[in-house]
Amino acid sequence: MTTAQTQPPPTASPPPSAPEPPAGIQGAAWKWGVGLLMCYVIYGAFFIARNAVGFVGDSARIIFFHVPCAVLSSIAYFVAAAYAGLYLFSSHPEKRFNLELDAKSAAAMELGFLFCILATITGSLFAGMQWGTFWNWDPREISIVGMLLLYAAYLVLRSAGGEQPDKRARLTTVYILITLIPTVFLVWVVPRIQALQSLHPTSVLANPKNTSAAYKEVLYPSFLAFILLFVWLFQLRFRLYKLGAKDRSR
Amino acid sequence: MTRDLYFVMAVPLIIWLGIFFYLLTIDRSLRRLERSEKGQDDL
Repeated sequence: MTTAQTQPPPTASPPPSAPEPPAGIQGAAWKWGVGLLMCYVIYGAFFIARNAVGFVGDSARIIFFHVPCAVLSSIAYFVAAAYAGLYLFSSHPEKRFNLELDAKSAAAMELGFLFCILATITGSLFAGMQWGTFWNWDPREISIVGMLLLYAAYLVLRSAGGEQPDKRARLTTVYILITLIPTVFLVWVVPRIQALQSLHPTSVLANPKNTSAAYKEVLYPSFLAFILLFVWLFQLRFRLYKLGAKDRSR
Repeated sequence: MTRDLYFVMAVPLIIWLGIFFYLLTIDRSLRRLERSEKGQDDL
């Protein structure tokens, strides 16, 4: 099976210019693409990729699910930070900030937390198989615990924000922008500290020469599938917010 | 051996299909709600 057969063309990704009313089947087409693409990834993880050198048994196949989740959990933070920054610089005619940007930032944070939890659990399973213990405070494991705490603290702060949406939005967007500093540190610096001697095979993946063509054939579609899934979930969350916001204004 | 692997693969595949169709139904019901909201705004 080749990638060209099952992988939908990149043009099937969300059409931003599509008008809302006739978005019946056209609007859903790329979502079916995500569904098929993920099925292909699941199939390919078992039957296209083979056991990799240096990994215990079949453990290397985790790459197709764990790595996209881990990457998304950090991308989500930066997406949330971008919307948080836009929120703080937005201005409405009546001197109020654009709460929709705050809602988008919150949606990204919620999904980031979800993918962070998934990356932690799957990573722990890999550690159990590859290194014989489910948790060994590898630098990557330290940094993901930090990310989990940052996400959890955000959600606590947001739920404690109370009934004033403007105040809550200001509080939480500033939180995201301040914690962007430790996030950058956790994502890029902590796992690369030589003294901590990470067992995590990040450097194996960083060099494209180390992954075979069969792995790339599954890995790249898996990244695409997870990113599109993220976009879909993000849109759902935001649409839900918009419906709720309308309810409150009535 | 390969036969076993097909059964193992079926597990994540079924989980994904379940989640996928659940998401599609949420999407559809959201669209219906949005449409009815729009109708109320026009009144």
